[in-house]
Amino acid sequence: MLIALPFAFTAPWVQDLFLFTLMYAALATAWNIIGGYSGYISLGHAGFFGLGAYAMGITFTHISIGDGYRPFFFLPLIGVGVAVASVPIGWVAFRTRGATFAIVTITLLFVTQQLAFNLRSLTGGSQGIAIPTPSFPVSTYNVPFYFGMLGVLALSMLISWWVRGSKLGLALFAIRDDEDRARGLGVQTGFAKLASFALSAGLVAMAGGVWAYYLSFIYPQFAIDPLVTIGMVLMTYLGGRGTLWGPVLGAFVLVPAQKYLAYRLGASDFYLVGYSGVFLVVILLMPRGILPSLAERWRKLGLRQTHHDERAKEVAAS
Amino acid sequence: MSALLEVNDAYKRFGGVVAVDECTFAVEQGTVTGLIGPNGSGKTTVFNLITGYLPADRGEFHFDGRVVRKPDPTRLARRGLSRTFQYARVFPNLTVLENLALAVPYGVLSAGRLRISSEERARGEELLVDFNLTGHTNTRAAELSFGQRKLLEFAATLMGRPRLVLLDEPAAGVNPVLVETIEEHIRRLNASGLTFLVVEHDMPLVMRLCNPVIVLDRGRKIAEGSAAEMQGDPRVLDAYLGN
Repeated sequence: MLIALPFAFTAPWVQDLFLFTLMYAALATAWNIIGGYSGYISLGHAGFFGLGAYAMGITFTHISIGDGYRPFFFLPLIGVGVAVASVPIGWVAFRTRGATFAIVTITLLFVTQQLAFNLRSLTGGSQGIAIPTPSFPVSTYNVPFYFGMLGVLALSMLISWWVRGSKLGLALFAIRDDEDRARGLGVQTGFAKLASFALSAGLVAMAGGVWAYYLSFIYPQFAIDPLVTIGMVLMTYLGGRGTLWGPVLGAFVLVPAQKYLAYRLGASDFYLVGYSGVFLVVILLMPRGILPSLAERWRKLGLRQTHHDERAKEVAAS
Repeated sequence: MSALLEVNDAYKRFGGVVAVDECTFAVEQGTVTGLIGPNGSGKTTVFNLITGYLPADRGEFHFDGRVVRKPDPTRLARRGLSRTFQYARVFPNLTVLENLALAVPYGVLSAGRLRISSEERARGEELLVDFNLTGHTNTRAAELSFGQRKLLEFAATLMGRPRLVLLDEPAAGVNPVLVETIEEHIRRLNASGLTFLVVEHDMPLVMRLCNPVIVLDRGRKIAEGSAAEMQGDPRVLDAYLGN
């Protein structure tokens, strides 16, 4: 269905909406690998998103990789590069836990932003980097970017699914429940956290690369924006932290809601009030997120039905 | 017999309180050694120092004939030293079988392999039969009773095939029938060669099960000997009852 969407809806603004929804679905899915599975709340992932975006921009400016479809094939390299770069960062950040970890990762975001401002020869500083616009046909201009982002989402889902079903995933879920106990059973918690952090950072960077190519212009406040981190965290919580489909569901609820409210409430920032309202209502009604809450209700309904059937059998027997 | 674990001059201070004071003892291979003492005598702190959950201020630890320079729970568990906690610590959101599979050590390169291998499943199910937890294989640990969690925690420590198990109050908060079950498991496992160091307040259990018994008071070892000897030792009576 997602493959057919850009052909069924050809209006650029609808395709743009779908593209951003896919982007946040990919970001939230990637964030969930560390934040959802292990419970380590990283608030610095927008830094990796920015690194991916700048990697794409810098490659265009300093090394000619050509335009058209070629930059999309460069994405895996960006993902691997940022994943490797995230390892020493994670190594330092994972010396902390809980709220301290969240704060340490926020500083990573601002350090990345400051680097983007100050490494002028590389990043263009506050003036940013302009990426040449590809020569795609105007009528289907958004389609290659849509499929680029869909590819990143598919890869994120595949990796998230694989991690869940592997020993790495089991270690991450154990860390979320009781990290010290896991250590006492011989679980290599340090490796599990670093590996999931690197996977998550690499995927987020790939989404950043597609985003930069699509917008064709990036500058520090925009590419390394705390709202990007907040978006991926909120969407994961809304859909269901630690689930496979929860982050995707969260993105498919919140991104259209955000765009709709921004459209209805004009250029003012009042749309953010409405956006947080949507989030608050869902979280108040379903505190564990949409998917886990629905699964729990379904389970209770099943139990009630089983109990009811057993009672009926007892009554019939007596 | 040779010492599987040696603790030499272990010392730990929390601010103005000395929790463990020049504590020295050894656990011989193949024994069920008891570590007893009044509340606050430093038993659990000694466990935490041995297993690396707390860094010692001073002291030296030897396990399996080698010096443990910087005790670390993960490395020690992989070398065969496992432990339980006073309040059963299981992973509430994992199933019973996942709780067990988690304790099987694997290399970094195997991290991408299937969550539970067929061998781990077979070994886990075998342990669940031994610990009377059959039928709970796919139950979330959060749904188990306190006693069942104690048994699950105990079973999980065995999945990694340890050589020494440190049990912190295995009988605390469980009913007398379950105490007997736990005692039987310890005896059976000890007969098959597993060594235990047990912290316990249930004195009849300690008297039946442990030999030797080490007594701590205010972080220091005050006596060591057979359970019968310790029962009549005036230093031990003083520590428990006061002068």
